[in-house]
Amino acid sequence: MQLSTREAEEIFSKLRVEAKRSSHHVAGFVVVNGVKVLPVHYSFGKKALPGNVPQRFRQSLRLTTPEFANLKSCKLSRDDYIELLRLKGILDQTIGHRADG
Amino acid sequence: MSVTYDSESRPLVLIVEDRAPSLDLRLRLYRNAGFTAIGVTSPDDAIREIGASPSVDMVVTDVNLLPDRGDDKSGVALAKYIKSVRGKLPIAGYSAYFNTGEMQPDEIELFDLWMPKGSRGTEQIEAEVIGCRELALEHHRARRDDADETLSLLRRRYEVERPEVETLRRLVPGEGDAAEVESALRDAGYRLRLVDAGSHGLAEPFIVWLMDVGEHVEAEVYGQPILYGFGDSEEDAVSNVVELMRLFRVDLVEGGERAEGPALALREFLLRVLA
Repeated sequence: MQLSTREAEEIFSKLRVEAKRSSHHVAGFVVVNGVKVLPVHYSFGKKALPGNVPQRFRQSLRLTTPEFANLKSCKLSRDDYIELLRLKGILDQTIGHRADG
Repeated sequence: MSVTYDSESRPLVLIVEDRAPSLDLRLRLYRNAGFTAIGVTSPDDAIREIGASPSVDMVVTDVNLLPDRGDDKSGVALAKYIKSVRGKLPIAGYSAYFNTGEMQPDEIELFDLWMPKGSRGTEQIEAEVIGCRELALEHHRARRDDADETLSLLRRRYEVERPEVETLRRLVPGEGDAAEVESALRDAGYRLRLVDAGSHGLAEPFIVWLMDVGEHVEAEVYGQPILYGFGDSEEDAVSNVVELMRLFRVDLVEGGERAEGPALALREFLLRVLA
């Protein structure tokens, strides 16, 4: 599985991850209705994230490989993604059904 | 004057004597009697050495350290100062004042051992040295016992004998489902490493999984799969993970927003581990 830094940045943008930067990382959270629920990050330094790092990035988003491929290819919207998290039990139902944060 | 620290069996004595030949004689005699001996020629130098040498076990001082003053008792003032800052440090004084009745009772009380000066041969001085050795050894043992007791208290407080081993045992469950996962990780080539708190300015140590992947090393914090990183070496990978932890902490702890689920668990971990 391949993932470039640019692709990771695009995913962050699509999911509206609220992120901060340091020397080597961009780290932030998937936010739903003002609540930080899922920590995610990617690292600078290489155009392609090496080794197992793309898998780890996918896992941090709680997505299977096909789901992640859909996210990368814009077949999965943010709303769809949030609903997936809810169906997987990752989001507490009390956080709310509106998925636009 | 340089300071020599004593071994387990050689107490350290500080000799204060303004006259060089007398100082040299006493240094030789005390060293022959099994002391580590250092010498100074003035009260000011003695105060400096006491402050710089916590392992001094005894002070032996002339009372008349300023011979230009006929009635000088600067050795008494020195003893008074030493008792005020190191109350348990034994002090031996020697002076003709001790056998002429010119020392007041409260001045004599400052000394644990006092010796009249005057025409006294090497044999008499050697006898004094033996008396001083007993006092010095007693102080040396008491100082060592205090240190051992303090160390025991610290070990009980932090529940560790060897921090790196005990922390590893506590943090690695090795039972049930965790054992299966750990076994699978080890089979895949991962190894565990303890990240020392002191080396990265942390409040607590933590454990990472490490794995060589091609030309780099990947690291993941044990129990916190979101905290992963990579580097050209183990040190780089671990440093990058710590940097990531600090970045998340800024957002989670100082950001003030509400956190739930995995974000909440991460915040609790970061609050515990990061200083």
